[in-house]
Amino acid sequence: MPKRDKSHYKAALLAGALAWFIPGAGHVYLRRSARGVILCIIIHALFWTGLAFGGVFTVEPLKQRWWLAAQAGTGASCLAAWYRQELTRRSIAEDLGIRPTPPRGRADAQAWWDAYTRELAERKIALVYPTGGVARAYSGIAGMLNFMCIFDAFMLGLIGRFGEPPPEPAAAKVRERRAG
Amino acid sequence: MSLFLEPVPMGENALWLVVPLCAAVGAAYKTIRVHHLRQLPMQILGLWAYMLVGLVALGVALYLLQHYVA
Repeated sequence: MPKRDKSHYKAALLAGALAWFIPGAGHVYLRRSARGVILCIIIHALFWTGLAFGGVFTVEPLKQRWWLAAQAGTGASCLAAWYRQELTRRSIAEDLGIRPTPPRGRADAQAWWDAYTRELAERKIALVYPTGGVARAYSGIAGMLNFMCIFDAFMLGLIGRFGEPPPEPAAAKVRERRAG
Repeated sequence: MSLFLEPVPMGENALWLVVPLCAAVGAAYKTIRVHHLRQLPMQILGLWAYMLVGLVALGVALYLLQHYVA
């Protein structure tokens, strides 16, 4: 297996981390700015459209953990939405005089959920069919698409491919030079 | 401000929302796959049409299966 330049590992990790935190930033770092900007717009538009459809509880860590895992791919956007959701849940729990998270016992947890969901419905922030499905599909797919972009940025960084690929005739010349 | 706090009422017919979703998926996929950005609009259009036709065909097939077989 050929040895890789150590700086390529650093570049790959940095590109991957940037791509996770701000969708498209990994590609901008790899000097593929146009692609980075396009990815940034698409993924943010998809995520925040989902959030507009579903409201603050589109990102829900208590009962929708698998969706949260998918949404987590959008990095800073998901963290912001998760934080806003935490604030809202804590404020509702405070108003109701209950804990911010369900208690451990089954009966107590059921009573907690009953009071909490009743309050969500009264405040009109409960997600119901088909809103919940659409909102979580949009935001979750945005996260999953960004996982694909993170992988692409990481692999491009790993092989040290900075900048856009050369135009076809130049690429053919490089191939010929390598072959000859 | 109720945007991003309260869900937007969408009614029962939310099926049309699959059209922009397919466009976004196609655009993100082709943005990282395409060799030159000049090819991007046509590639996105092709993949978008492919996905929509595929979904419609799948929907028709499942409808026929449910209607005549099940």
